[in-house]
Amino acid sequence: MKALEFRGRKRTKELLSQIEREIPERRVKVMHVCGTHESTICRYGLREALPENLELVQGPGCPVCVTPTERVDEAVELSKKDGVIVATFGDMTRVPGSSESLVADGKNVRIVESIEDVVKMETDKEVVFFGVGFETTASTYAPVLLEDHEGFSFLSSVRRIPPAINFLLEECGADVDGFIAPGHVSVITGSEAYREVVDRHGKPVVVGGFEPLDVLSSVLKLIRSIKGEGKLVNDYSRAVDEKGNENAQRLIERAFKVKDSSWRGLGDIPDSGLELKNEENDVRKKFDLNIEKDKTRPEGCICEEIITGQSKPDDCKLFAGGKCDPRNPVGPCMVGSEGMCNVWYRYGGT
Amino acid sequence: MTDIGLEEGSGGEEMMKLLEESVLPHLEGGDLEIGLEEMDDGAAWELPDGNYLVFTTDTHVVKPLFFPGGDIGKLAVSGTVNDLAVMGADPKYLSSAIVVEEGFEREEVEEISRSMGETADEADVNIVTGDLKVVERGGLDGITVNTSGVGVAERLTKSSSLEPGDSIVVSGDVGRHGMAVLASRHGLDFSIESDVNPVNGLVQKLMEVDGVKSLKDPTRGGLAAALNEMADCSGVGVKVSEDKIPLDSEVEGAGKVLGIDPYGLANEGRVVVGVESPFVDDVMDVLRKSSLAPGAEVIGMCKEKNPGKVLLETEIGTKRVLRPPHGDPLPRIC
Amino acid sequence: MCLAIPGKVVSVEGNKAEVEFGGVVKEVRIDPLEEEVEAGDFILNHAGFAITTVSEEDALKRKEELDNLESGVE
Repeated sequence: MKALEFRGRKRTKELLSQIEREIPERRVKVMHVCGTHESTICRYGLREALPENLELVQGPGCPVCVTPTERVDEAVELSKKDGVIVATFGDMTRVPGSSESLVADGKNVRIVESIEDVVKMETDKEVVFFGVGFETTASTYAPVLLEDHEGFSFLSSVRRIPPAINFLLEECGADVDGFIAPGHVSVITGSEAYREVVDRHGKPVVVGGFEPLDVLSSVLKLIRSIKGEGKLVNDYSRAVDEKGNENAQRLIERAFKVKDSSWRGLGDIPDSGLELKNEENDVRKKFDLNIEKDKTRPEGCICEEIITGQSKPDDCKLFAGGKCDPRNPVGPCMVGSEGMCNVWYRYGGT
Repeated sequence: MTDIGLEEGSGGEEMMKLLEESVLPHLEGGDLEIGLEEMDDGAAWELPDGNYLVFTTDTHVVKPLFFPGGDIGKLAVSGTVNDLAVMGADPKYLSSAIVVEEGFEREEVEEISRSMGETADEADVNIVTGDLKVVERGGLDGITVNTSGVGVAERLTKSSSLEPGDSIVVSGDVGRHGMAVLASRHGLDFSIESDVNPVNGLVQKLMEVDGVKSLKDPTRGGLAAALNEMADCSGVGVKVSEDKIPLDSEVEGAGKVLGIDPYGLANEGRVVVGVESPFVDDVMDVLRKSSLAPGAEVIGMCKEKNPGKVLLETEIGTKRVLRPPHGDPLPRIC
Repeated sequence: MCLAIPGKVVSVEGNKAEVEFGGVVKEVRIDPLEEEVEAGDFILNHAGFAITTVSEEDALKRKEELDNLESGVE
């Protein structure tokens, strides 16, 4: 798919120079909220290539990272029940719960790449799908949840991005100058979903794609917005439009209801979660789960500051001291493949 | 102390830590030219006639046992032959120790043995001794094969001999074996075959080129691990260009689908060569003439800056550090 | 989990499509899509589901835009 790759050397050099020329002299802080954006940034060494006074941070864009301990504990408890299989995406199986994590033994806990894999599983047992994700992934869960499936239940850890961005600005006083909105969440929600961020908080938002030139283009457009040009910019128009994918939105609306939700690192955010409408598939109706809310925070872990863009992985003593790595993750930012610490560990941080 | 995890078998940082902390301190390595401390592909000691006897061992746990392009038998023989070859030895004799799970199919044992025999013929080595054990059902997953091998070397290649200015060459496209096994395991529709092959003949010809200093077979941990070892052992910085690293488009495509970086995937029929730059063309001549070196490329150079690190120039012209792979996205690859 | 990979539709049957990704063919569900797709169309695959289509025309438009971005012309 070469036509969809935007990676030219010459263009890169030119965009970098353009950014260098146009960026204000003061410190400019820009936040993106997507692990895939962070991957592109690290994989192509973009932070190092961008101007020094540009601070590019990652917000709460890793669905695995923001899943609270209680959810993991529920999944672990379920996996121990007779006649139950818990299925989920790979990195959920290493997130630390309050005392243990889901261990993918291939028997009671299985790794899948899609909710569709769960539907195709041949087993007499009850399969519980531990569904994490944001709006993008919700659009894949909805069609299956609207179907009739025997022996299938859903443990929801699905959240919405725009409320989290608003929350960061209102409650956390995030001192960012602007946001790069996640391109594929925006495919579903449409660029207008960020109108409140722009109108209420006066912060520019640029919807960005994931090729290296996409990221550089979005940075340039965000700089221009910060300096006064149009505040809500769709820089991923080959996949995103203003209203989004309305069919997907309808499917999500039919399968889920909006509720308040707890985010690891941020606490409770109103209207930020998606729970099942059809209680037949809801694991909490089928099983009696009694999990305490875990208020503890692993010692030395600064995941919460990282998720809110206040610190970077190398600010963390555990990260810098080699005490937290993907094999022995202390906090969720190291576990999720989209967590900032995990991406930095793999790509060396720039 | 924690229990052993799959990551510790991956050939990456975790495995090194496990070996350095729990295994090596208890072993008396002996006083050899290349011994345990070097953690090289094998061991070597000097014979009375001035040549070196080279000795290596490997246990194979690949899953699935039969994958596109090969099977555990071909892998077991090729792996050990190649380890000897990249140390500079002419491989001569192998042992084969098989442990089979109760209930395993006899025809498959035969198929695997046939494969081993054929590969040994191809490599011009003999399997001269062996062992067979059966464990109870559940005691093992199917079958595991260990091959040990000996060979004789006139001169030994060392990972520690590289200097700034030396060039790095790779003999063909990377990530194939790992990707073939993985795709096969996930039931993906994939026409890529593993690159598993004994390459001792090719290595022999490369050794005849003056200026060839270091050879590595990038198995577990892939190209990334091999380059980092070279940088670390020699104390040089290694700088490579992403657009020079040969990568098959299907391997690349599968990597995107599976979310895995081909640079960290095992290769079982490739060689990474460290050579003095004036002799690069001679190395490329040898490689171009070989059917075992499809798409060989000069991928980079050794530098004085950033010793011990591998710097990758990305396809867009920016730079990043190519770290040794961590964790085990792929257990049971070799 | 924003990862979505572009692929080319090979065939469509009901709510499923066979989609090719750089030589590898996978089955993808097309329920979330807003429009019908047929062989030759491109989609973005996220966790086994197509979330949108992308056209070569859009890709070319983007290339043009990136080429002109420097001078501030959009």
